[in-house]
Amino acid sequence: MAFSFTADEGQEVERIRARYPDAMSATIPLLHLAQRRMRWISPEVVDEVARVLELPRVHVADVVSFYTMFQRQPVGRHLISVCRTLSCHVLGGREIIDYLRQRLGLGDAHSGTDAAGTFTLEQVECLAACGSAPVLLVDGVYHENMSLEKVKALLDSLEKGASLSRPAPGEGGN
Amino acid sequence: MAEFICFPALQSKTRASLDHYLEDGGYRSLKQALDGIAPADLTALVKASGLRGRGGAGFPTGMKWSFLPKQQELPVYLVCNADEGEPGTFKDRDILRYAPHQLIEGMLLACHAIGARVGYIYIRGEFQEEAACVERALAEARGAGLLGKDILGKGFNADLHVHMGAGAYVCGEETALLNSLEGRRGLPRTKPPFPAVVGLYGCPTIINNVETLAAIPPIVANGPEWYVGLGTPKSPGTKLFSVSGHVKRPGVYECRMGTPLMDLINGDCGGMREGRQLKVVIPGGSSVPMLTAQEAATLSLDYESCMEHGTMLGSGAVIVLDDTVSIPHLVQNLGHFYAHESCGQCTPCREGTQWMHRILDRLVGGRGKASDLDLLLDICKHVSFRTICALGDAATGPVKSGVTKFRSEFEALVR
Repeated sequence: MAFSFTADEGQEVERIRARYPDAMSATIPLLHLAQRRMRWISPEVVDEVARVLELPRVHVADVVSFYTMFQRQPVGRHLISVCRTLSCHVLGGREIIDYLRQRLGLGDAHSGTDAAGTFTLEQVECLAACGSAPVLLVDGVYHENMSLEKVKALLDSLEKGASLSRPAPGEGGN
Repeated sequence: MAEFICFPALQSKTRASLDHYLEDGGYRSLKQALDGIAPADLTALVKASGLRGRGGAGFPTGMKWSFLPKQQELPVYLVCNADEGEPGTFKDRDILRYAPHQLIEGMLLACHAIGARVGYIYIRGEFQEEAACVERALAEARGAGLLGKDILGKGFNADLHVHMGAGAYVCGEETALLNSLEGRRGLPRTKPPFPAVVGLYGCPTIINNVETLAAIPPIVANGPEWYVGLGTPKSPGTKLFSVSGHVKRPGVYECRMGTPLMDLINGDCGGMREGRQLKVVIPGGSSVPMLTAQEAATLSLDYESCMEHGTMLGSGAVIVLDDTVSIPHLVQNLGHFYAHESCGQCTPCREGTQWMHRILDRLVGGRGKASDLDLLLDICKHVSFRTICALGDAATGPVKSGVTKFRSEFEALVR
């Protein structure tokens, strides 16, 4: 599927480029911008970012492959990123991951998308919110002090099509 | 006991706006500096305060600044390291969302001292809300003549930009961060040359942690002697501690350097969960050697006490775990972390972290051998200090201390 930045995004591209003396610095910001709309980095996104920044395609592909936030395959309607590192792990994170793997029917796989394409589970390393462990992100938004019950309720409401209210900036979802 | 001295906004959690910051005396240090503290004097002032890098390395901040070449043609850059990622650490997040103007003022003071006219705030990619808080504060500052051209009408120009990371622990290492900011893979660079000489875009660059930069406005406002007096002779000032794990009240606490660890755990944090005993403390983030409950009993929160106890203050991430925790599981969990986060550039780290991870997996899975314990310690020897950056050495911290101090728990797995 072809990809190009929209007119609005084009203005954002210009604002981003103006921050740096070197266009290459805009690589990661432009990939974020594209992923915000497309939800993953397709080969066509790589082509477009390389074209806009006049960089070799292999450079952009190389950067995409290094950073874990760039999804290299399409994801389900909601992306759930659960922290698997120490403080979350010992405070219920492991049970949440086991529950999600089972609910999504992932079998032995650590991560993946359910058959209906509703949820993608990924296990991520420390999210720097260990004081409110266990922690997970839904579509990039922090959900803290989670429990199995809260996770069940959250997925139930998402499945019914509820849209998530983003926490007000500065409140961080606590 | 904790008290919010340098970071009052982290206690209220409601005073992030410019109006609140100004009410609380904000931007007075910047005005004072632009009115009459020469850049070299400001560097000397920070040196005299004894402020050390709060991101983990603890390097003296004023000394770092003084490594910039005295005369050169290239622009100087300031970079704020907000790629908070050391497991257990979540203090910078609170500064970004509750005290963004204090960080901005600290960065402008640093720009004045080092002669930078552009600064970047490299924020980990997951911190979208936190970045929005900083962007809002930058816009407020710009609107009030505190950022951009002719700041406070004093002819001082400096601009700051947010740059988001995209998920890579290693980018918290300052030279990997520079590569990432330039739009490359986050691979650490060999040093020397140090970033102060050859940094961002090949130009002289100073990289400081969020907490380090945000500590500067109160130091300028109250004087370096005041800051020194808050801590111990060798560890001046206060530090933010991120406490997580099995305590009743985890969170971010500001403590005077030298505060007994157990005061923090049993006082501010309310002690251990009901009916449970303290088993192990990782006092400075996942990379530093863990302490048994007995060792932790005599630790005070400062650089020298940590060194005497064979560990490090690091980023001030205190992970407190009770007697429900199996040490081999703990070490396996962190072994996975480091294997996942190794950038793969140096063979000892790439191979060493992978092998340690695999051996820990088989030990915990009941498929280990008695010889695996010494094999793990042997791998540590071949990874430590044989790599470009400190990630490999960090990976050995939990393995070495876990296997050595809790050997019987590992032996029980191979009996």
